[in-house]
Amino acid sequence: MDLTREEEAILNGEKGEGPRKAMELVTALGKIYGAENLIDITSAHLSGASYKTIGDGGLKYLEDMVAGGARVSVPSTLNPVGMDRTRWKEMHISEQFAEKQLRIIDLYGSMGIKTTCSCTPYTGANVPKLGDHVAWAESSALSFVNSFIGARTNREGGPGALAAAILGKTANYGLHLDEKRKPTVVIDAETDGSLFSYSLLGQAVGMAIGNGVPYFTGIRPEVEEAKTLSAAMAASGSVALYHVEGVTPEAGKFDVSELERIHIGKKELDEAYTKLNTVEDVQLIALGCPHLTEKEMHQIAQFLKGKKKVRDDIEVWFCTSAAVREKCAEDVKIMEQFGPVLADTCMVVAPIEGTFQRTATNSAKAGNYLPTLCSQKVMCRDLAALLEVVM
Amino acid sequence: MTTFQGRMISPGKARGEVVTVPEPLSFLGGVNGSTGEICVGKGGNVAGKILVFPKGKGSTVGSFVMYDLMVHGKQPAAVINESAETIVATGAVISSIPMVDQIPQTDIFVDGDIVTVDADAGTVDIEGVRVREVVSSALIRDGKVLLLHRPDHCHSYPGKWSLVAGKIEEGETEEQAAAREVLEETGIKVGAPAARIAPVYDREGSTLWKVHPMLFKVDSDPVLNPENDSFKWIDPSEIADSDCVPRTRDVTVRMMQKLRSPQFPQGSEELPAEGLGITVGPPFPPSATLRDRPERVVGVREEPQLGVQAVGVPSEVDLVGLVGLEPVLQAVEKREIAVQERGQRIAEHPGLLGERVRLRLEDVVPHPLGGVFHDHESGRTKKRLPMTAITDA
Repeated sequence: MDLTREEEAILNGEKGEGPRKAMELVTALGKIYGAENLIDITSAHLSGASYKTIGDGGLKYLEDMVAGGARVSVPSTLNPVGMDRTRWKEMHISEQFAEKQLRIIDLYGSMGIKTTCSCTPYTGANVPKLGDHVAWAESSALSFVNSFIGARTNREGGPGALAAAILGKTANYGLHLDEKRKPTVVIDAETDGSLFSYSLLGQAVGMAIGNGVPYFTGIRPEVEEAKTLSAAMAASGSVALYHVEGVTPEAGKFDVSELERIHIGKKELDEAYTKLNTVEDVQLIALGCPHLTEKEMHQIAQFLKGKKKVRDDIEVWFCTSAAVREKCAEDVKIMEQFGPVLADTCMVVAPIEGTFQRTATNSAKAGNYLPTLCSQKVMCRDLAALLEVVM
Repeated sequence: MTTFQGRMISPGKARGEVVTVPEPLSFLGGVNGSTGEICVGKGGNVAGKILVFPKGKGSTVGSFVMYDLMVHGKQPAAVINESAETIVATGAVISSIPMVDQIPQTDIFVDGDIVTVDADAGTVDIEGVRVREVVSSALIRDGKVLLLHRPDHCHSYPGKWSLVAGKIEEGETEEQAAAREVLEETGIKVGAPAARIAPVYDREGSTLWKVHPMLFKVDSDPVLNPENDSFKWIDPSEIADSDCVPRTRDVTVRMMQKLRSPQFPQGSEELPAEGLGITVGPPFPPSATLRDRPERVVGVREEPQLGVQAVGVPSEVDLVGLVGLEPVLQAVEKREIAVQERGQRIAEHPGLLGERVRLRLEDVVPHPLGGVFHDHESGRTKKRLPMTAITDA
């Protein structure tokens, strides 16, 4: 890999141990993926924030990074953690877990990272621009900024994104390059346009193509739909970039006439639905994967207004960011009649497996991860259908 | 001592005893972070050992398990992989564990080998092991392959069935050695091989056989010499590994596949799930140029042990001057693959013939996400799995 003199100096330890380790990691990953050089980034978004997922090894790693004086050099935000940082008792979290989780948040904070703890930083805390090179972890968020905004990032892992944030640079390969952003397949989508249909569409496309860069026709996603679609395709497959005809900023650049076309319609969505649903009765209904936006909060509050929760045996959680929760105070009041509006966390990264075995979601992403990361059986339905269960 | 040239992933040096894990390893669930115990396969402990496994897999938390090992003083002294992926590479770097990849096959190593890893130089030395180069020829008649039976008193793999195999002698090329061995052991005269694949390694005690497989089409029965006591023609899919010298079935089947798509323009193959590696497709006519088909994919992971840039997934390869498989393999082995001007016909470069082959690799940017692969035979785009399944919670 071609390093500048300054980058070489960092690798040789001239800027201290922390930057040297960061440079070792960024160059090692660059080497694996055949990068020729490093590229400056304008922001980072880090995963590896829940104590449940990173464990004691991860905690110690963060402690050592902080002790070594690591600090990020570009605006950086953090993924959801394992609990709401104030209302964790409502999530059945143990004192011991909470103590370690709060420590992890502090450690990230002391490296200069905004501890927004949300998987939708692009709605406010961290908004890249078209053409920006960034280093983002969190598959749903990075796919959103790649696709809907036209920023450029690969699918970074937690430590890799942190190293990039420290250096302000990442290895230049993959989706940072024009060539790799070209569509690889056309998806002719046929859906009813509902938000839930974007979950199923993403699930079906991930199942059909696995990865690559799909180019959609037949859909008109807005932020919420794109958020859902990004998350679903990144979980059922590993799609990190897609284009939507007439919608996403780079879509117009490509001639897709020669590409293979795949039709995804009712049959495929039904298959996706079957795949996601493994149980009929649930103990927890968790909404907000990815985190609920202001618009979704309004819609849910509107839907719940004047209704009553009658099923005491089923808990309902609403997951969003602290910023959205604060802005939507009126909606929160209504929603809290049904269950806690939690910030900083979600059902996937929280240790729900200690309390629940059967969870409902309207998110295909959660539908993919709940069985593996949380040992849950899953019900995956439209939001209204889920909430009607408890009314 | 035998030295392999690999590639540095994480710096440092170490000498120690080998512990192997034969399958792709997930540190999360696969290794206990506080004790170093290996919880899969035959078990063992990684602490202070040279840990050898083909590649990483599983959750990204695996990187932190490696860090946990370091915190508890139970980390391996070094890691050797065939192909590095993000999780293990990240874990090795953040835990300051020397790591080398692009070693041809990790089953070259056995538990207890004493190995020196110089990650800074990318080298791995195995003590007390000697490399012997051999050829191994599959003779094919009517779709069946000839197997020879080794006598029970034979020195290497007694009582086993094998292809027509023998050592390469001083001054011989691989193909000359193959032709000589075929003539000696079967009385059959052969010309140039109809297919070849890159060398495979086979460890037998302190000997490391470097085997050069070749395939020849023949049309007569063998006349045996005393080196073998019987023969049979068998459908390659029916080769039983237990009765044969290692990899007999594997190399035969792979060469047969190559044979089935002899002309490049039809010769696209589906990449396997691992999708790692830039290697070469089957030979195509010397006058061919791909100028008009820049999208054609010829990168097929046929020989991951070639090692050159054996990472990532080629998505587009503009091949300019491929004249045959053998020189390509040599060029790859010598790490001489170079970039060639786009669109020049090989006929305009007679100097390349038989000498050194240049692939245009400009567009071969390895890709963490995998990609979609166009199969020209079926005219369909097929999916390709990513290098690692990354969960990012």
